Amino acid sequence: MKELGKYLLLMGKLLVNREKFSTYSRLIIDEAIVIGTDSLLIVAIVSSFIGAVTAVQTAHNLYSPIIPLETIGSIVRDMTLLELAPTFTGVVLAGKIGSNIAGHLGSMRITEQIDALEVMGINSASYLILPKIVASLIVFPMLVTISCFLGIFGGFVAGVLTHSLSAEQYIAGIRDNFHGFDIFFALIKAFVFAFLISSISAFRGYYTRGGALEIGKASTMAVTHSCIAILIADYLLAQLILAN
Amino acid sequence: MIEFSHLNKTFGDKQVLKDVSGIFERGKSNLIIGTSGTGKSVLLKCLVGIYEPDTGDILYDHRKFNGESNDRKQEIRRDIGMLFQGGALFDSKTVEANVMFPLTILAPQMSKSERIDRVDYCLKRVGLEKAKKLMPSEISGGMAKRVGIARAIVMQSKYLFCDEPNSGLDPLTSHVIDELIVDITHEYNITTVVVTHDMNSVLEIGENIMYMFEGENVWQGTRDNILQTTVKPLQDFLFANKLIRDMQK
Repeated sequence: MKELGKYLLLMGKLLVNREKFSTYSRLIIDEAIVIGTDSLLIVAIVSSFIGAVTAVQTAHNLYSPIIPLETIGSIVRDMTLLELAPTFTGVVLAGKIGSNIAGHLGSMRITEQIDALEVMGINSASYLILPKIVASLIVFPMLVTISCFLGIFGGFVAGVLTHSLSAEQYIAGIRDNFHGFDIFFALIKAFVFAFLISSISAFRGYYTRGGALEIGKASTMAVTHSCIAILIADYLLAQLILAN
Repeated sequence: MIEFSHLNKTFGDKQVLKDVSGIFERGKSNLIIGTSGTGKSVLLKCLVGIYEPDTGDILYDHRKFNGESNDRKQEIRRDIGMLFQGGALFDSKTVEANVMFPLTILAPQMSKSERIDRVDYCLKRVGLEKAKKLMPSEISGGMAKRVGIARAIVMQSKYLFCDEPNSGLDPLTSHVIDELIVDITHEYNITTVVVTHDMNSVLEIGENIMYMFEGENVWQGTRDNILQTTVKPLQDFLFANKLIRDMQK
């Protein structure tokens, strides 16, 4: 509970005594470029293969004369949009971006760079953490969108190449009974996961004490706690939004 | 001038500062000395606001600092420059960008050319005008300290704090840093506070010296009368240095 309180106080500190908006705009763009470009390849690889595996395994399990093959496309689409793209992207980014944020801030803490900012009269929490959170909120939905597309495309390629179904059947499947809200739901998840990953990792890094060993520990804790938070949020969002 | 009175600071069950009071005068290099773990750096960090003292008052030219609102504190902090033990340079920025950083954030009214001129002046003042395009990882420890000093004075600070400016430096570079600190103090008539346990610094630049022992201010004087002290812990501290033992003989 003490840690939670400290986390909430840090989040509050981000919003008071900030510098001018122009100070942050450049930082947000820089962070967004780093998060986006650094993560694009891994997100693309993971998403494509997850979509492919989903298509192949669904085809294997649903191979029955009474179930139309188009169903494979529908299942890949729904699983990708509702769960796999946002959650897998979240977990992958927790490992990649989360550890990066915690390591960066932890290193700044133990080399007194954060103290230097404070002594200059700059709100270090706001200056260092706010741009990372805002950049994550901008970039994560983009990455999840790309992940959704590549996941479904990966399913298409795998399904067609393994002759599980034809291209026309797959496309008919992903068009059948499509709910636009599913995309919206995936984006809601992306926003929530973006906030959780960036803020939890920043919290772990910002309060690092000690030396190099503690930076490693902070990075590990950032990834672990972010993943747990993602899974809890994933369940809560599904329960709150989809169950009604 | 910086005045502080009855400062106490506790971490867990360990009281690090015990009713510490003192005055650091303007235009002088004020030294805080003492053995390791006596609370010198904690006192310094309380003075600059990195730590909040449990009790006591800190005044910057009669302006109260501790316990004030963040806005009020930030107003005073913008008059403070600090040289950290390891330099604390931003490792993703060049030397020039490090020195320009406070101007970029805190002096948006300055034009770009004014900022560049100011940075060039400060880097020249510390003798690093040729290193401005280098990254912190490409410069030596002594150069990093000088960049730290340039960054600390770029905003024309009224107060300069230095946390062990000579740690990890060879005697010659230490001497250069000491001279730079004392020259800047006199040139800009600022209040400088230096935490050190380097005896050469004490004897060279100690215009006002505070000796701390087990969290208390047990002696305050100048380099001219420090060797005549009768305070036992300070005598032990001084005479642990062979040079001073030889001087006494």
